[in-house]
Amino acid sequence: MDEREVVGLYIAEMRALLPVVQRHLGTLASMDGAEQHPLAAREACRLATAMADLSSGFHVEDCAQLARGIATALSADGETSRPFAVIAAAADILTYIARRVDMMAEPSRILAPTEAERSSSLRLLATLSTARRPVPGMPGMSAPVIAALIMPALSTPQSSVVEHVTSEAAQATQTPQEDQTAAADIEVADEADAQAVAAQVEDSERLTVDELALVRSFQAQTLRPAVPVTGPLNYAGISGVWSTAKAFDAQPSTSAAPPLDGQKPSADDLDYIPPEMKRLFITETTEDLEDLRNHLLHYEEHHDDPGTLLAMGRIGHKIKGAAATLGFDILAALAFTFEDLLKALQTRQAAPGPHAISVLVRSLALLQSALDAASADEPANPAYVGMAHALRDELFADAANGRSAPSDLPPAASAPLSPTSGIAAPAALPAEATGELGLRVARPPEAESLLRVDVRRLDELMNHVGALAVNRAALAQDRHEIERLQTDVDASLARLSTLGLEINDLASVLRSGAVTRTSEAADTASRDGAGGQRFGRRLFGRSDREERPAPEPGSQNGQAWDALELERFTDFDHTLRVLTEVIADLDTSSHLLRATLKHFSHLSEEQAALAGHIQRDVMQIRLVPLSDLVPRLQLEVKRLAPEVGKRITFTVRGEMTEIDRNISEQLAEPLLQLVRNAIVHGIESPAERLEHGKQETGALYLHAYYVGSEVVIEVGDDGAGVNHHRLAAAAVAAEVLTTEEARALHPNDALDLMFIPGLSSKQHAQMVSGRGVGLDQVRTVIQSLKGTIHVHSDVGKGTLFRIRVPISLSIVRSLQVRAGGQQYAVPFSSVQRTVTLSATDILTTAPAADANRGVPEPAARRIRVERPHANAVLGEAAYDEIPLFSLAELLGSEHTPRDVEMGLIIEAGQRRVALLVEHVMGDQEVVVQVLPKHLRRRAVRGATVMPDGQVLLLLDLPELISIVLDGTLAQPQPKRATPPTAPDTLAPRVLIVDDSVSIRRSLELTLERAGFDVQVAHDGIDALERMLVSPPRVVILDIEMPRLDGFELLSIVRSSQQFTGVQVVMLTSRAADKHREHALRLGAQEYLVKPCPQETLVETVRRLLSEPLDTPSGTL
Amino acid sequence: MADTAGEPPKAAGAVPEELAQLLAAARSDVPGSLEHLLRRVETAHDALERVSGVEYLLFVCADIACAVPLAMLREVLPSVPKTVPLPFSPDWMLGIFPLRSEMLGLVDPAPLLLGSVDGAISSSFIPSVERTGQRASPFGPGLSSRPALVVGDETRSLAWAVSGVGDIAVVQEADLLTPGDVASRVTLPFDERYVSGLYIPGDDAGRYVVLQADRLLDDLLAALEERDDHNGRA
Repeated sequence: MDEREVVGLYIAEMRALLPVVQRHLGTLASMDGAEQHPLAAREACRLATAMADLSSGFHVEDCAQLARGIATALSADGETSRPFAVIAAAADILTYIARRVDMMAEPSRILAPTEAERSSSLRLLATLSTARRPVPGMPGMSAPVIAALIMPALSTPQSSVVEHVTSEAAQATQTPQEDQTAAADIEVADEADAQAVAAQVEDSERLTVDELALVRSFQAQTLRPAVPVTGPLNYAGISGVWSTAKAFDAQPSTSAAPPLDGQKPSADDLDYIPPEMKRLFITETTEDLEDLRNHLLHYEEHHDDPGTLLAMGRIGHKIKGAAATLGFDILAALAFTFEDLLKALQTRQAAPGPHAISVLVRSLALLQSALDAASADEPANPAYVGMAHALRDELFADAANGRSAPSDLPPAASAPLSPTSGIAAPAALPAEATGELGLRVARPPEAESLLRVDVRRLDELMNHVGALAVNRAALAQDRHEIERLQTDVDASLARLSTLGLEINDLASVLRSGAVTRTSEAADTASRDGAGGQRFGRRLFGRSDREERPAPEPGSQNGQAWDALELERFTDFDHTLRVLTEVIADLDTSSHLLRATLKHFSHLSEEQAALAGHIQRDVMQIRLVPLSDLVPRLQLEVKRLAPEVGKRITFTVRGEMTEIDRNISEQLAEPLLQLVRNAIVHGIESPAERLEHGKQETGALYLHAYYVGSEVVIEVGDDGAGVNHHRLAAAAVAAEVLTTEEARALHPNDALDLMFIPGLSSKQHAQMVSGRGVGLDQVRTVIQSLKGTIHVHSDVGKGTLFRIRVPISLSIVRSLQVRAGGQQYAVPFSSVQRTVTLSATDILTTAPAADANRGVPEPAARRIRVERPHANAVLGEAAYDEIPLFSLAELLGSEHTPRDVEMGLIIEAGQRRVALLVEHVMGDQEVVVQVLPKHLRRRAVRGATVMPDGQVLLLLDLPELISIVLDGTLAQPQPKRATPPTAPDTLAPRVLIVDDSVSIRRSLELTLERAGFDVQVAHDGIDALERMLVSPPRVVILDIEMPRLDGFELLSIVRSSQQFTGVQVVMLTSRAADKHREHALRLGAQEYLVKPCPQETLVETVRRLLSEPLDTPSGTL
Repeated sequence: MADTAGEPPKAAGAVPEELAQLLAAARSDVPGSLEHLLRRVETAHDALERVSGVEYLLFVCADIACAVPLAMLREVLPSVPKTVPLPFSPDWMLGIFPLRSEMLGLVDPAPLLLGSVDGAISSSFIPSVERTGQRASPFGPGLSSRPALVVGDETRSLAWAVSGVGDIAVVQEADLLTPGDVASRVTLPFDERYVSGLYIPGDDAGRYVVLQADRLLDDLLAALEERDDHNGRA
């Protein structure tokens, strides 16, 4: 741990304590004049003391003195009320300390105060002292008093005069056996020192009597360590440690003696601890213990590395301080004793070696047990303290006897902890597990910049990211809609352009006629005058004039053109020009719009990519390496193997494989159980191993690697293996299986019996000895994590448990399937494979005897699938017959049989089943949104929003199958009656096909308001594409459309079996009977003519939906 | 409580003109206006707050005119959103839908409300739909564009599909009949435990069953929770 980390540690601790003290001071201030709440004063005092101890430990002298000053001022015996001035002065001090702590957070800052800070702290202390004991005629302390009080302490390398004296005293008491004497010496030294200081001050500074009294008073109360338990931290030596150790030894083990005022709550009385503080403490201490385990592993191989012991000492001290602060006295006492052990090793009072490691391991186990109790809101066992002391005595006894390890320790205890020295794993690793997933067990302290974040905040962040995904989907949908509209606009523009050209052509024809007539008029005019010239100019404009010679001026015969006709013709020409301009404007706008849309699309895609990155990053934040679990497993091997007289090496590979923190935490106990199983039952004793020609030392290994979006963790050993015949016999004895069923069991299936509740506990009760969970519970936990566990074993060679769990429960790779007309997502990992099924593949005969181990299966239909692990040599059948269910029926919908269907092969525990679905759409990673409690269903893991904005349920198929096979769900479930009030839930889909945007929109609104699920298409091709993806119940079809018109589409629909059942309503402006008859002949059910009243349309659609399909033309 | 059915309306303070316009717009069932009004409901406009009395939203459920305290509502959705059916749920559970970053359940509260009634609802009691200020749907029951009330708070909420939403009424205490008074005068159409009183406006413009929305919500939530038999049928 470098200087910055030390500073960081101190800052974090102080920032945790400061606000609490401030809050208590606020409580006191609000009760000024009244009887103050004793708890607030006591707590403020206790926490101020903790701050003082902490500051002393980190050599932040000014803060230590100030905090102790607060503690002293608030701890005055018999006082029920403190003057406001005291509280105000204390508050000022807290402000100062907070500022100091903030300053420390700046780069390059160190903990020690500057001269200016020392001066400030002295002034604050003086104010506090004056406020506390105002002396008549002396509003504040004089400089000599301050100097006499404070300077000796600050100028001493130790944090206080008393600590200095304590150190001196401790130097004279080198062994714990002399604790009592040392403590007495300290008391004497305290008194002597105070008197000496006072005398020195009196002589040199000529204090007044009052000042001297104040000095004595202040010395007596301020400089004396208020809490003997948490003495100064001095890693360079053991001074101060043995003296404080006495304090613990002298206390009853049931609860630590009240250190301050006799009212400190015991560890059992935890109600007063703010839950947030307690939670932080538990989290932090859990991490600290993990760090201690890592350091311990490192220390085992590097006895000569003093840094490791130092680092461990710091952690132990930190745990001790925090535990004492919060009233976890037993935990504090254990941490204290742990520090003793480390100090002894540091000072070579105890010899490093296997026995010392063993003592430290056991001491750590005690710390863990006490922390577990604190986590569970239970009091820690007071006997732990005695056990810890016994461990300490054991270490010192060995040191005194000159031994590095007790002779009665099993030889395996000296086996190295490090997996690097273990033998190679018996099983080959998959390729993914090698390479970057190299071995790294003892993590040296890393100078990484870490920030502790509440997991709940991450969960909230993940929810927000999920909401972002929803918005992203909506945005994408809007973008597609805009693009679709743009296409419509372009199509309309094209039609308009065509229309413009046609009108122009028409105008040309008209012009030709007009020219002829005008030429005639001009001829007349040339003869009769120039009267027609004006008309010619108006009519044809310049170009016409250029092309054609203008009539001679002065012509008077233009009146040969009908004046009204000419007027209209001119207006028409003008309108045509305006139309041309509008088309040109529209074209320009369309181009601009397209460019803007392109830019928008680009930004939208970038936004989507960014959101995806954020989503992945948030998920990554939640991931932790499995290495966090490894030290506990290693220490368990170290602890348990000697207990059962076995030699075991533990090898770990792929420990940097990352997994969601929640999953990792829940994996800890199952992995511990598997490790214990292997140690106690799997691996033979050294003698047995030798007898079987094996190496004396057994191999236990843990391998972790990624497979897709899952992590596989293998826990294996090279032990005796499991005899599946015995397991089957046990199952028969426990009436889990009949003899026939047991006889028919495949060996691998028989091994699965060890996970069956009851059977497992009977077989392994003795080995767990009340620790952790049994194998049935192991599987339960794994399944709750949406994972699987399998076991493979060879008698005489070993056993392997293979666990597969998702990397994260929040993001799941899923298959999208359709069943009962509804789309669902199913986790990719739960589907072994998909199969295409025709009617001939589905069996209705009785199941084969060995299928699914005799588990009751209510399905009447079955299919034959390839059997895994089938051994043809042994004559095993290559296929299993497994039950077949309709997913739609299981979920309460109607299943519509088809000629060819899809089947999902699902593994649910030890059983395999097939699920019929209508369609498998593809796979995609989805963010799982957990449903609120009242919407949770066992068979539903949550909901997810697809990129198109569609909400899908993420099904838990193994759970669904379990429900079915366990008989808790009637099977097959009858088709659920459509709720009379749920039209929007299963709204029939209607497809509107029309090339007119306005008509499409109008119809869409009308039908949506009527409760239909409406889709739109702008021509026949577009409609066909949509129908192929999702056939509608009714199509509203126009006739005239580009690319593929209504008649053509109708012909295609009626000629395709895929669209059987789709009803077609023609909605067109063609009112002629010949069109109607043609449409009905092609297979339309209804023929409506535009404009059609909304009610008529809605009524027609409803009527068609309520009637069976009737094709008038009989073309089907 | 005295019979107030025939009495003139109690003074409830002047209704702001803007509010009156909004209410008129809502009555006309113009979607945009209705939406505007609903937004106002959500944001609890000052003008509404200035009016004394307790605010109730009037709506129709199971052909019965009802009232629910505005404070119980999170939001009013102009039309029932598209939902996804939730398996192993009672029939009155219509499905789930996303509301911003939250998944909500949509239910039809009618079956639970009518639970203790064997269909014999006093016809004299039932006000005509028109009298509630809500026009009958042009598309008839079943496929109409039905609104939904999001009832509850952030920690526990459900969307109730209702037949129509009407005015916001500022109800004086004197306009409310207690359940005891009600029981002696009319046959309650709903299970009594879900009725906190009867609101009879001073102008005798119908009668409204004031719902114990909190209790109804609790029961709906409890009935939705999956039971041990995993069928979730309430």
